[in-house]
Amino acid sequence: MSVFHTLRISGSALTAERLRMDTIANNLANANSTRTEAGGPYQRQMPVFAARTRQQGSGQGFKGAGVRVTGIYQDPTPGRLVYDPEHPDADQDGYVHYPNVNIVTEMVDMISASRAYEANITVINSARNMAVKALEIGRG
Amino acid sequence: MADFNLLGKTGDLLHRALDAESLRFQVRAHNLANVNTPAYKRQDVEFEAYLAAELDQRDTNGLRRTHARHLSGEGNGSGAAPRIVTDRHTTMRVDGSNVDIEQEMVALTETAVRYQVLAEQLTRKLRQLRTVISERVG
Repeated sequence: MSVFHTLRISGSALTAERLRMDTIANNLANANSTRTEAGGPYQRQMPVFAARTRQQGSGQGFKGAGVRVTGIYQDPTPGRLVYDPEHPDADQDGYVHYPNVNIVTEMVDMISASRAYEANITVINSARNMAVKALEIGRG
Repeated sequence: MADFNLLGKTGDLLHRALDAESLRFQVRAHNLANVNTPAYKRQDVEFEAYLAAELDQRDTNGLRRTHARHLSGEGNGSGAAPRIVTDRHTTMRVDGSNVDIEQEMVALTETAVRYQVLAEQLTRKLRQLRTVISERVG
């Protein structure tokens, strides 16, 4: 049924945007982490979204089914170097390799994710109002 | 072959318009779900223009409107179906997406309001019918 399908479409976006928010939070939390389990400084992570389509075309032929996260990828760009020979993670030349997390970029992404989340919440509320209105047909 | 339809032509049109608005709402929800998807192209539903064209052409007595101000005949309006179109010609962001969150929200609100208006009209149509059946007013 199409009302529930709309809710699932927006629900998939809420999941995706929340995951995006989680990665942003993780990036910001690790903005100064010079060690990771894999060795080396923390690398910025980013989720990649792709439009999802329905395989079997039920309904009126609309194949869209929201959004899905294809994976979380690491940003390979090198991080910043800080000269600090006293630091335990300093290399032979006295430089510490810091993560490639840019606070400003993360904040901008955070606002974008937050606004997208709000937009999808609005869709869900609106879809619910429409469904309620449809239930009122013939009640008058 | 008499199509026994209590709601008549109005009911049929309202029913189809509600279906179209419902589909449109779903398409807009999909657009908004993909607001952060790179290279996503927004989709839309075309319906009113097809319906108007169909209503213009289908005159039961075989007459055609040759002027925009002529009265249209009794078109029965079955056939025109909503079509989903993808807007591939515009780009809004560097990543190739053309979903404008503001524009999409406005369009979504409009769709929801139109849906409610149509639902309200159908309710009133049914109320009229009920008045006729029950021989009372109100």
